[in-house]
Amino acid sequence: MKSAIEGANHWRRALPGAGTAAVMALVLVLAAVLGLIAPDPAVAGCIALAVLVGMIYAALRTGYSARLSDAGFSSVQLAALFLLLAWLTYLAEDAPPAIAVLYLVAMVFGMLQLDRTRLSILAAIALAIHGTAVFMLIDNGHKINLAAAWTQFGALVLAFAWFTYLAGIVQQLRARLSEAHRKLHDLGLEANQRAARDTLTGVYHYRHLMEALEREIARAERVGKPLSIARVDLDWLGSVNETHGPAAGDIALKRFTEAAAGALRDVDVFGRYGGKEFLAIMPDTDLKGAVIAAERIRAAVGREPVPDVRGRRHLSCTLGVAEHRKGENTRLVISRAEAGLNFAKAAGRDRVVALDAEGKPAMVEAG
Amino acid sequence: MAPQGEIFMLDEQVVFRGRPMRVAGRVQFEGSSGQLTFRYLLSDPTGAPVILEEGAGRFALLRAFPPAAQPQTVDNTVTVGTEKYTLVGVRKLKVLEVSGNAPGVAPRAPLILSGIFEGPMGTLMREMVPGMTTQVYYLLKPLAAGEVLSAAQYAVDKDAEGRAAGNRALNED
Repeated sequence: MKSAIEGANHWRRALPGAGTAAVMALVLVLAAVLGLIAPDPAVAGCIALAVLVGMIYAALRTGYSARLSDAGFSSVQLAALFLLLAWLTYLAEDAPPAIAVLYLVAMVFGMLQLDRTRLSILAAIALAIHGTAVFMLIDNGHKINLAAAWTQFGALVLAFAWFTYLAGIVQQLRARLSEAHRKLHDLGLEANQRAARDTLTGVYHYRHLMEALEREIARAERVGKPLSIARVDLDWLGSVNETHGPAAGDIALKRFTEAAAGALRDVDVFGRYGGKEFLAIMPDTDLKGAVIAAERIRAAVGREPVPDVRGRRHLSCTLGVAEHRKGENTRLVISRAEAGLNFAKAAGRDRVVALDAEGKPAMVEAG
Repeated sequence: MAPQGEIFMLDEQVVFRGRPMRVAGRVQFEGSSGQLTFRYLLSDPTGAPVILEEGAGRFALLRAFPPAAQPQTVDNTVTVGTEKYTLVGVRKLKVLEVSGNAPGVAPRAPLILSGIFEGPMGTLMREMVPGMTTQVYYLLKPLAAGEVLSAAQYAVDKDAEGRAAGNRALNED
């Protein structure tokens, strides 16, 4: 599958040059049929074009072109086309208008593929070798209409200058398009990141938490390692909101999440379960380890200052801890942690409650 | 703001604190003075179920205790750990209708007694069926307006929020 995709990519990169060569070959055949050039140069030109396309494709296919700054071989293709046209001019023993048209076709290709500097250099080379071919014909005694040849040469100079100017504009448009594409890509990444995060606190939101818990339960059952969770509630947030306004409540929530998330390991997952309710997922952790981690969260949150509420000057939180049992789904393990949390809240808040195998509060760490 | 006291039907989609959930059970009660109270069991495929009660236009969250760690009641006082809650009122609730997966003791009797206890940590509710030993305790948490919404109302609110944000952005330009 990978090689098929890579093959398609090679063809896609070779296509502009191959298309230009095909157009040139068609014009050559037409010119030969109409008697504007001799059949032999036309056939030779078509063969040379086919060989050129084949070589470019081979260079792309083998990866040779990847080492070059012009990985698409656009400069090489254009230089080869110009050489070919000059050679055809010499073979045709004239400077036929058909070949002038082909120069323009080649310049369109160059305008779309190259920057202004490279195209102007190639255009200058093209004019030089075309002029050399015409001069050699004159020097060899061929009868050429000089006025027509000079007119054609002048027209090519003007056309090449115009194409070179347009190449700059195309280059600017391509740069803007590339920049817009990059920004769009960055925005897409940011949107994905935001989609998994709670907008106020920056921690994971409910859906991501549930996906993570399902994943961790499956992993724990597969590898036989323990998994524990903690349902965490920020205490007295309603009182903070009522006493100091919702902005103070938002600040309290942010401080709480920073402290709680900071007290966990990198492998743990912490997120907003809803409202002021949060959930910590602790892989490879048994109940005892989870109680220690929960107590760490409680201590970290308890160090965060808060405007005076009910005589308190620091935040506090209540936690219910449960260890996953084999065969238990997300709903059941969360329900058990939540039952522990409810008991802890009713028993005075600012404490950690873990339920044992019978569902009794087995480990209680009171603040 | 969404109206408070909205009555939900069984299997209706609701949004509780931003979580899309389904009404999996519903109980309709009638109080002694004729007022109606609804109790809902909300569920979603992954999270823990939620029990809500709606009466007199307000919602409250009912938080269940571990089955093996129920509070202790002596006379008019309920004790949880070292915290004490004192009885402040009793409700007699007649069960009018039960549909779906109804929570608590309601499906088992035509009448339940609901005692309300208050303490420094909030409000507790103890429910029992007269003549039976079964009882259930809940920690009560009053909900603010907008914490429970029908899915339709939630969509309308979100749409209005989006339009307002769009208008703000246009005005800033």
